[in-house]
Amino acid sequence: MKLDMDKELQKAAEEYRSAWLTQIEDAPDYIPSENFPQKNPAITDTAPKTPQSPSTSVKLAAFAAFLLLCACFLSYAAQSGTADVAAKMNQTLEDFGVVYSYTAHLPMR
Amino acid sequence: MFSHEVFPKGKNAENKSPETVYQKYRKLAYNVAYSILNHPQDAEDAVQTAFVGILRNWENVKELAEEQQCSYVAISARRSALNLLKSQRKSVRLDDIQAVYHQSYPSLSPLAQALADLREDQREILLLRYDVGFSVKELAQHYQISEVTARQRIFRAKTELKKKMEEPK
Repeated sequence: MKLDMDKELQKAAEEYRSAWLTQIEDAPDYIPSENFPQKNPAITDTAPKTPQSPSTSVKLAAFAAFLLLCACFLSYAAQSGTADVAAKMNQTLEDFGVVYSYTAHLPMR
Repeated sequence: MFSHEVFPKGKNAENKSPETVYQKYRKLAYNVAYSILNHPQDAEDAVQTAFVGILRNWENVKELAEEQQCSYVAISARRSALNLLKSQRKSVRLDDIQAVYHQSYPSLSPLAQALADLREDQREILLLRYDVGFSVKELAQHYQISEVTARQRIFRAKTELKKKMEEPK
């Protein structure tokens, strides 16, 4: 009984679909997309990836490392650098209006 | 009239790749969508949405015979177009929507006519079950619902169909 009903329904569904699609007319000015599956990022997942900007914590860490490096360099130049380096540092600082003598801290030779 | 070969012959599906199915049925899908939306760009959008759904469900679709694949593409395009129409409801007259839902087809058998008179969602699930030939499991995957819910929906649609058959003409 159930099988009969299923068969009847199958026939009816086919009949309905046939009538429905036969009534569908050609749409005017149809310009098909030639390669839709390639163009659709949802399907092919080929959408160009936006470059990710580093997070704020990474930027802060990089800046802190840079400052540390600068401090190390200055300290090294002041404590154990040659007189030339210290003189250049003094000159540079004086150019910026800072009065500080690196040479005064140089160890006596 | 519709010039596309609506029901290509062949028992087994030769369309094993999504691209083949798209190339073969995109015009059919577009015509179905256009018949509802009457707007080229909207119809194209509906076709794209329909094919995204088809590809998501490709594991089931690729096993279908050609005729069933054709039917599935048409049903999917209709669903996408109706969803788009619903989203544009503010700018569409209600009468137009009713006309889309309830089209009349001459010379249908009583059962097929009752199917045509069903609510859109109920007709769709019966078409997918009995025309496309989806199992309950495949229907559940198509609608992204549980198998129990899919079974319930089929049952309700069939009950409604019986009621329509018993209604005096």
